[in-house]
Amino acid sequence: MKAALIFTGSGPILVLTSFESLESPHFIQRLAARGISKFIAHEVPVELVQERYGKRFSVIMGDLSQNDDMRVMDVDGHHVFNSFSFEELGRPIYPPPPRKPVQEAVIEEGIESEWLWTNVDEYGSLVESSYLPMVGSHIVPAAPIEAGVRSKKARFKINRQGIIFDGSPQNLNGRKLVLHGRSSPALGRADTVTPSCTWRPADEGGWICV
Amino acid sequence: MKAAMIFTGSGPILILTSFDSLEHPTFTEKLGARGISKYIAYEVSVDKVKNLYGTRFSIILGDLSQTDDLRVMDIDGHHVLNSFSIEELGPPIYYQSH
Repeated sequence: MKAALIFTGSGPILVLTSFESLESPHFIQRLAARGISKFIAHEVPVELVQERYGKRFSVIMGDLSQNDDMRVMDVDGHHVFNSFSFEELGRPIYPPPPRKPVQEAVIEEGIESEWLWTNVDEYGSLVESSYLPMVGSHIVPAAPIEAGVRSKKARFKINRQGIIFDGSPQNLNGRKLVLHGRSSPALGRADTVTPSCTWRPADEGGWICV
Repeated sequence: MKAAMIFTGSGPILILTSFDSLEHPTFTEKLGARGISKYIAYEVSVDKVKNLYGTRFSIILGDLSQTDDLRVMDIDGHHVLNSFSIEELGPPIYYQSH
């Protein structure tokens, strides 16, 4: 469990997270899902947060799952900023520089993709997929799922531009699948069945075609 | 002259100053007069600010006294944060009034 002050464009917020690192791509993804794509983070001791927020801390903690999760504890920037002295802050942690825009899904002319089977989490990210490089990809705009449901099975095809059709659930239709990874050739080709290269996890996250 | 991004409780602001230090007692006093008694400052390139803000920069610069002065350049926190890459920030300077 970690607690951190996150300095954003509209002031600092205080978050609790069960991610092991504030530099974890998943943690950064969670922040991005809340509209925070650029930030400076300082870890603060969880004990101090508990001491200063008392019952509010317990309530938020009750929401926090054991695995990979994040909860916003306080969005009152002045209160957050004044609740901790500089001596109590850890070193500044900066997010990695933005990667080049992910390549758009491209399918060979006249070919539709095979059926893609995935699990989509509450943030629209693909957490399981029938095609490895798609894990970590996301659907935009995010497809809301029922409260309390962590992920939902989905099945769909994508067209040449990555637009979803024939989707189940149907509310995926018309949304766009943004593929996670960097590669050559382009991701998302119709080689979802017969990959033309070997996919390996890249050091900085995502997948690389070798 | 220096330019700096100042992180406060309500988001970063961008300032220009003719103080030679972002911890100068009169500099901190002037920020204090604007309600900022605790901050994290990151120096940024004056040239970059000039390129980013153009005429606005010239106008603000015209107001800036040659010594011991401070002018607020931009209070739009999101714009300020997104105008500079992390690599363009100097080392953090922490200040809190006693």
